[in-house]
Amino acid sequence: MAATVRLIVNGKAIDAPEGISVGALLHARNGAVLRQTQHGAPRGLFCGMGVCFDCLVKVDGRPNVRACMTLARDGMIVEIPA
Amino acid sequence: MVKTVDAIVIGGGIVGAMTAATLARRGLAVHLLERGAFGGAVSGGSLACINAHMNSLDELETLKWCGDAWAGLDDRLGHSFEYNRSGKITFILRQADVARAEAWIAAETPRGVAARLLTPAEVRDVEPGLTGPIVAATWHPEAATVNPFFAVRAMLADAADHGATMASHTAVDRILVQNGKVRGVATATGTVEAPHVVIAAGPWTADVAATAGVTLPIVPRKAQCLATTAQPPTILRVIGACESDGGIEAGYTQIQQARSGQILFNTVLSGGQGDPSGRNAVPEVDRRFVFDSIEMLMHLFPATRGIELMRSWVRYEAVTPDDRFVIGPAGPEGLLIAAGDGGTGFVRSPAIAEIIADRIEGRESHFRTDIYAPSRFDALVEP
Ligand SMILES: Cc1cc2nc3c(=O)[nH]c(=O)nc-3n(C[C@H](O)[C@H](O)[C@H](O)COP(=O)(O)OP(=O)(O)OC[C@H]3O[C@@H](n4cnc5c(N)ncnc54)[C@H](O)[C@@H]3O)c2cc1C
Ligand code: FES
Repeated sequence: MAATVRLIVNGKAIDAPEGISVGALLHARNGAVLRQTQHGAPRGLFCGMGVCFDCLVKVDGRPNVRACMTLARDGMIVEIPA
Repeated sequence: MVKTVDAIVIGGGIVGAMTAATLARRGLAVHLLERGAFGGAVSGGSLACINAHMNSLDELETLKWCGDAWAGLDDRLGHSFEYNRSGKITFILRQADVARAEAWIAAETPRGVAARLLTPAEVRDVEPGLTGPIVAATWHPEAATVNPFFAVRAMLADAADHGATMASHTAVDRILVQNGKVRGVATATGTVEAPHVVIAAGPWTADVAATAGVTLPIVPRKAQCLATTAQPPTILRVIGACESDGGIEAGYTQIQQARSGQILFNTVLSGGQGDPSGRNAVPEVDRRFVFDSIEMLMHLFPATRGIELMRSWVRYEAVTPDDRFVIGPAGPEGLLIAAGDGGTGFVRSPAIAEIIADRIEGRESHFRTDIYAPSRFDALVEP
């Protein structure tokens, strides 16, 4: 069995298999809608390959990081923009 | 029915938009024709810094006037184009370039353009994030930026408010000439007549001029830009390079953070002279440019490490043999050229528009116009 990493997502500890992307993790847990735009339109993983920038989250304090291109790491702090 | 106006402007970039607005404000009936979307070519891809420092001593008074004109437009047009007097820092990486910077400052100061030399510690007072190793920098507090798309739109709205008419997605196929005089232009949807036609078609200007039998030595040059995802305020000023050699350190490189939060990085690499068909394609930026830009950005602003690059774009600027604009009459009576931006046409556009309008009205211009005369290249282009 793959090792597990523990992330903090919106203040909650979440365990995930090592090697999963933050995008895939959030997709599996939260469903297709990851966040809302400023104007309230739903956004989630769209291209899943780093091109569309629809999957932006905050990682370790850094804003607008692509979730689909970021590997989940132990101790990583992920914030989904409100 | 054939539409008849006093003047036709070809090209809806910043030069054409500013020219149309200026002519309309002076009471002329103007019609502007744009082949694609307004501002969609070079102007929309611009970093649109309004800067007089380390630019051109021959044009210093004109550039200074342009800086004031942009500030005036911002006031008059209701702060509609994100005018931001951020100031500009020009970083120096080699000791040998300090003397060059000092020479610029010595020449500019008595002529009213304020810039001074800063130590690296002083740089941090005006740009706290610029902590990477530099030798010195110049600081020009009057430099500003505008949002290029909003600026084009604001000028078009001003033109329309003063009675100008305009059409996008309408290419001029050719300029109509009769008995050595301009008569108007032909488009796919019909003819427009006017005794004055201004070509402000950016890197396509030579093609349009050729339809009136005029040869202009304007070639396209590749400018490239990268944008990161939106970031909190990281870079407060326009950051320019001062090195005299080519490459990423050359005088062309410019870094700034847009109001949207995106960090923009722009340069022209040596050998950037594009193939003439390049301006019609949408080519990708050079791989080397991406690597060199990231390295330079992280060298100057270590805190930018880890920021995601979001997009890149290429535009072809119009370049003349002496890197100066072509502004004035050429060929048949009534034909005027306003192109050849050499990469800094945004700042100059208010003066270009005035020079063209003075010419059309038959007035003496208070700008120095001889250095822009299209006729300076006659010996070059005539067989
Ligand atoms: C990345 C980048 C950064 C820059 N940074 C700065 C800066 O900081 N400061 C500065 O001062 N300048 C800067 N510049 C340069 C500046 O943007 C240009 O000088 C300026 O936008 C040129 O404007 P223009 O109106 O001449 O050209 P364009 O915006 O290209 O307008 C010409 C228009 O003519 C139209 N056209 C062509 N042929 C026809 C036809 N047959 N019929 C009808 N329409 C036609 C085109 O579609 C186009 O819209 C920068 C440029 C780039 C690319
Ligand atoms: S889903 Fe497209 S960039 Fe992440």
